[in-house]
Order: sequence, then C-alpha cells, then structure tokens
Amino acid sequence: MLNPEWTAELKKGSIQLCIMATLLKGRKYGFQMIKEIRDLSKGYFDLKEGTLYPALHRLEQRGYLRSEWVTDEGGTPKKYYVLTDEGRKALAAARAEWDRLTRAVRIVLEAGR
Amino acid sequence: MTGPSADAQIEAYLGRVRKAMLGLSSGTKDGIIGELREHLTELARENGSVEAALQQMEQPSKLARGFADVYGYGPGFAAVLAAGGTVLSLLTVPSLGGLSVLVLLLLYAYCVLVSLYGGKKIGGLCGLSAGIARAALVAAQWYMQPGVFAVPETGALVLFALGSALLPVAGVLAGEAKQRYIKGRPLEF
Repeated sequence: MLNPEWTAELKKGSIQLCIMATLLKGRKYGFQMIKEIRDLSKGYFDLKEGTLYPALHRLEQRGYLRSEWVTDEGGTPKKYYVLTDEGRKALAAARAEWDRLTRAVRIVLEAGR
Repeated sequence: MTGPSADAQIEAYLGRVRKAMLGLSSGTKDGIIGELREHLTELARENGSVEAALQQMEQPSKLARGFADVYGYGPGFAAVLAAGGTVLSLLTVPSLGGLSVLVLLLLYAYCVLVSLYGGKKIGGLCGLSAGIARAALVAAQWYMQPGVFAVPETGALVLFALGSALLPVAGVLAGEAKQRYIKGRPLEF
C-alpha cells in the first residue's frame, strides 16, 4: 500500500501550481478555488483551509497574486485573488517545468515496466 | 441561514483562531479572520449547518501555524525579542573581559536569527536596541565610576562603537537577504 505521507508530499508539490492555474480565467475567492480544484481533480485535491489560505498569502507576498475585498450582491464581503503579470510569467515557467518533469518521470517509469 | 447561535459558534471558532495567532499584528489577524469568516459561512451553507462546517475545519493552532510561517511576528513578539537582545547586550560591556566578546558574538547570532525568522524590521530593531543599550551602559559606567572604568584609547573606542553600530546592520541585512532569496526563487511545485 502507498505511504500516505508520500502521497501528501507529491500533492504538496503541485498545490501552488493548481491554485495559480485556477486564477488564469479571472479573479476568485478562497472557497471558490477549493471547490474548483476539487471538482476539476475529481476529488483528488481536497484542500483544507489551513493549506489554501497561507499558500495564497505567501503567493501574494511574493508578488504573484494581489487581493481585493469585494462586497457581493448579498452584502457579504469576499476576498478575491487575481494573478499579477509576474504571477502569469511564473506560472508559465512552472508549467513548462512541470511538463518536463512529468514527461521525464513517465519515461523512467515506463522503462522500468 | 445562520441564526444567532450559529453566528456565535462561528465567532467562537474564529476567536480561538485569533488567540492562536499570538505573534501576528492585529491588522494581519483582522484580515485573516475576515477571510476565514467568509469561508466558514460558505462552508456552512454548503453543508447545511454550522456544526457540520466546524467539524470540517482544522484545529485553530494548526491554522495559526500556517499563517505564522508566512507573516513572522507582530509588534508584541518584536518587543519581547528586542528586550531579549537588550538583556544580552548588557553582558557585552568591555569591562567583563573575554566573556563580553563571547556574548557579543552570541548577540550578533541572535540578531541574525531574529531577522531571519521575524523579518528585517524586527532584526533591525533588536540590533538597534541592543547597540544603544550597550553604549548607554558603558557611558554610564564611565560617568558614574570614572576611577574604576577608565576611558579607553581611541582605537578601542572605535572598535566598541563599530561593534555596537553594526548590530542593527546585521539585524536588517539577514532578513533582507532572506527576502531577496525567497523573491528570486522560481515558483516551486
């Protein structure tokens, strides 16, 4: 059986990439991102708030995201996150690296069969 | 959707999170609590009850640790850390001989560590308060007991002043270096 710690490590490595990718099509708030990532990954990524929010704040500190409080029609204030230009560049670079990595791992795994 | 008791449950949970974020500044805490309130409200709506939503939430201490990793320490912790540096600096007065050199090296290490973990502002503050305290103590020694503590030669005086002045510099530079290192790193996955 697969060690759950190992699975967690693998997931951890791709969370920032997933978070930023969800913002490519426009601004979103935290709860929306959790749902979208969970739905798109068919439940594989079910982020907890203690993972998502500190990651969002860290990405904002690094200049990859910026946030804004917007009050919706129901009068509830929501904190929306937007990708910055720097964030888009970083995501593109990380995505290219991710493609290289997964391709390389697949080749090695296939060779071992 | 949420009645007064549901709101009270949400606020009680958020209160525990706020309490667990001991070292963060109140402005940062307010922002985080607001965002978590919005999250909890949506989660309660999705789950049909606040109780179910709260069961899914992480322990306040675990949440707080995640944010502490991002933000470092707030003014309260900064004051405590600066006070630690000040106390340590009192053992760096030259009249203590060899011990003072050893403690001075420790003090530099302390300022660098504070800067790395708490940020350059707190590191700088720590070094500044330590530098001022050691200079003030030496000046007080000379002034109050001139017969016991002789004014040193110019070279020793310059060395002492340099040792004090570089404390805040070390405190700021370590945090600045860390910040630049983090900013310069590509996005990790």
